[in-house]
Amino acid sequence: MLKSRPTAVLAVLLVLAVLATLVSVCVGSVAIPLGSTLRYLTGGGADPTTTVLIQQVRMPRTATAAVVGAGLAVAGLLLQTLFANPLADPYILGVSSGAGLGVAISVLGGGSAAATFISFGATGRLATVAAAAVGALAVLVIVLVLGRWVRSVVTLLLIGVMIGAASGAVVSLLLAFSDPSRIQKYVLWGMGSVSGVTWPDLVVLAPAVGLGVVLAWTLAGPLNAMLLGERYAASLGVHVRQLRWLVIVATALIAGTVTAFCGPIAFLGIAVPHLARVAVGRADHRLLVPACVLLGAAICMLCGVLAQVPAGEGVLPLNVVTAVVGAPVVIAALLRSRTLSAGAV
Amino acid sequence: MAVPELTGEDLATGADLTVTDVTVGYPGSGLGGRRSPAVVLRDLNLTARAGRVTVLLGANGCGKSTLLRSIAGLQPVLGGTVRLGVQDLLALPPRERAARLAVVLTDRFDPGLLRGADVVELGRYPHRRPAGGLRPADREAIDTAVAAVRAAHLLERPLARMSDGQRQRILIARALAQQPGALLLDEPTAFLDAPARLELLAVLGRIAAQRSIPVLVTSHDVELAVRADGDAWLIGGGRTVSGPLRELAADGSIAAAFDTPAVEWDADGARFRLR
Repeated sequence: MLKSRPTAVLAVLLVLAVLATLVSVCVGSVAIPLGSTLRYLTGGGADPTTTVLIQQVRMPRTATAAVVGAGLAVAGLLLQTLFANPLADPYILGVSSGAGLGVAISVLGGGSAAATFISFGATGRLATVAAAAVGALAVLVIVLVLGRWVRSVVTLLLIGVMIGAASGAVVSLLLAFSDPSRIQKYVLWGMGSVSGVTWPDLVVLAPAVGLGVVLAWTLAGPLNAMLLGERYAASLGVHVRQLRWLVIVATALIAGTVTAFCGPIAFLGIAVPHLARVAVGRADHRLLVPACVLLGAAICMLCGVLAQVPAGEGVLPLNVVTAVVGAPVVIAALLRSRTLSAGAV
Repeated sequence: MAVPELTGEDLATGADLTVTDVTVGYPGSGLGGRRSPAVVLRDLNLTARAGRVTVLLGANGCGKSTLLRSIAGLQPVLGGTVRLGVQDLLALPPRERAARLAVVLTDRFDPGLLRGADVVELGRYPHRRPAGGLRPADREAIDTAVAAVRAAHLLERPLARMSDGQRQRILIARALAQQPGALLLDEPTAFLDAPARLELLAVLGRIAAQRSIPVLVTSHDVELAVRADGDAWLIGGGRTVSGPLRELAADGSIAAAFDTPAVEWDADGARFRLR
C-alpha cells in the first residue's frame, strides 16, 4: 500500500512519455498518420518520403526534446534540493549566461580576436555550439574555483547570480554596438529550439546529458538527507562539500550541453521538478529523479509539438511555449511554499 | 562513496563520551585564513557517562551549542580529542562517525513533502548501502526508535502538519534509528511547554539507561535540569565544572555560574529567586 502510489505514478508517467513520443513523431509541417509511424517504429517499413521525414527530421527533433527535457528537469531538481530553494533552476549558477556570452562574442563580436579564436575551425551553427560550450565551461571553472573558499551554499548561489549579471552586462554592451542582423541571430539563439539538432549532434548531446542524469541518480540517497538541511545531512555522514561539487558538475554538464546545442531553454528546469513532486507526492529523490526524467521528456516533446503549430509559418520559439506552461507552475509553487512556510518555517 | 558494511557488533554501547583538552571556536576565515581564530571555550576536560543524561548548562551565548556541534564533528575543533570509549570520533570519516554518534539540532528546514516515516528512515543513512531498500535490520532499528519516543502514529503524517513537539519526537526517533553509541541534543526543550519538557527529559533518561549510552543535552533551563536527576557540565563564571547536578546545585557551583546582581540561586528550593 505504501509503495503502490508512487510506483503507479511512475507507470502513468512512462505511458505519458511514450504517447508524447508518438505525437512528436506524427505531428509537424506534414502530419504522418499514426499507423505509418507505428509501422516505421516497429520496423515494418514505410514509403520513402515518410522514412526520410521521420529519420532526418522528426526522430532527431523528438530525441533532442526528450533528452533536453529529461536533463533540464533533473538538473533543476538537484539544484532546488542543494540550495533548499524552490526557485532554483539549472541556470542559477550562471552556466547559461556564460554560454550566452560565448555565443554573443562569436555572433556579435565578429572580427574581434576572441571571436576569431572561438570560431576557429568551425562555421555557422557549429561555431555557435562551440562558443556556447566554451562560455559555459568558463563559468563552471570560475564557480568551482571560488567554491573552494565558500562555506555557505547561499554565497555560492549569489556568486552564480553575480556571474550571470556580469555576463549579461557584457552581452548588452556587445548588443549595443552590433548591427541588427547579427542581433537577430543572437536573439533567436536565446529563444531556444530543439529543431535543427542532427544525429551527429545527438551523439554528443545524449551521452553528456545521460551521464549527468546517471550521476544525479547515484546521488539520490545523500540528496534525501540534504532535505533536512546541510548540518543534519553532515551529521548523518553526508560529505556535504563533495556532494555540492558533484551536483554542480552534473548540472553544469547537463545545462552546458543543452544550452550549447539548443540555446537557453527556460522554465522546464524550474517547473518540471515541482510538477514531479506534486505527481509523486513524496520528497524521495529515488522516485523524483525518474519522475523528472519521464515528465521532463514528455513535456519538452509536447512543447516541441506545440512549437510546430503555425504550420508553414516556421516554428514558435521553444521558450515561448515552455514559458506558457512554466509561468503558472512557478506562481503556484510560490503560493504553495508560502502556505507551508506560514505554519512550518 | 564506498562504505564498509557496518554491523552491530562494531559499534560499542556502554562507552563514555570523553572530551580531552578540547578548545572550541571558529577558525581563521577569509581567503587564505588571514583572520585569526576566535576561541569560545578553552582546554575542556569533561566526561558524559554511558547510561546517564548529561545536561550541558550555561547562559545564552556561552558556547553550549558551539561545543555540542564541535563534539558532533559538525565544525572543526581548535584542539583536543573527543572519544567514545577508545574510539577517536573526530578522526573518523563522517559516515562512520554518524554510525556512532547522532545529533538533534535546532536547525529548521522546509518540511516540504516529508512525512514522519521519511525522516526516521534517513537515520539509517550511515548504515545503508548506496542503493537498495531497507533490510530487516534497518526496519527493526526504525521500529525500536519510533517506539522509544511513541511516535508510531506520526509516521504517515506530513511534517508540515506536526506541532513542534511532534516534530521533535520524529527527529529524536531519526537520531535513535542511527543506533548511536552517543546521543547529542541541542536545546531539545526550547519549543516545548512545561509538561512536555519534563516528559522529554524522562524519555531521554530512559533511552540513556536502556541503550546504555551517554545522552548529552544542552539547556539554559537550570531549574528544569535540576529536577531531572542527571549529570551536568556547567559553563559560566569563567570556568567549566562537571558532576551530578544535585551536587552542583548544593555546593554553590550553579550559584557561581549563574548568579547576577539581581538574581540568586536558591539551593534548597532548586530554583532562582530575586534578591
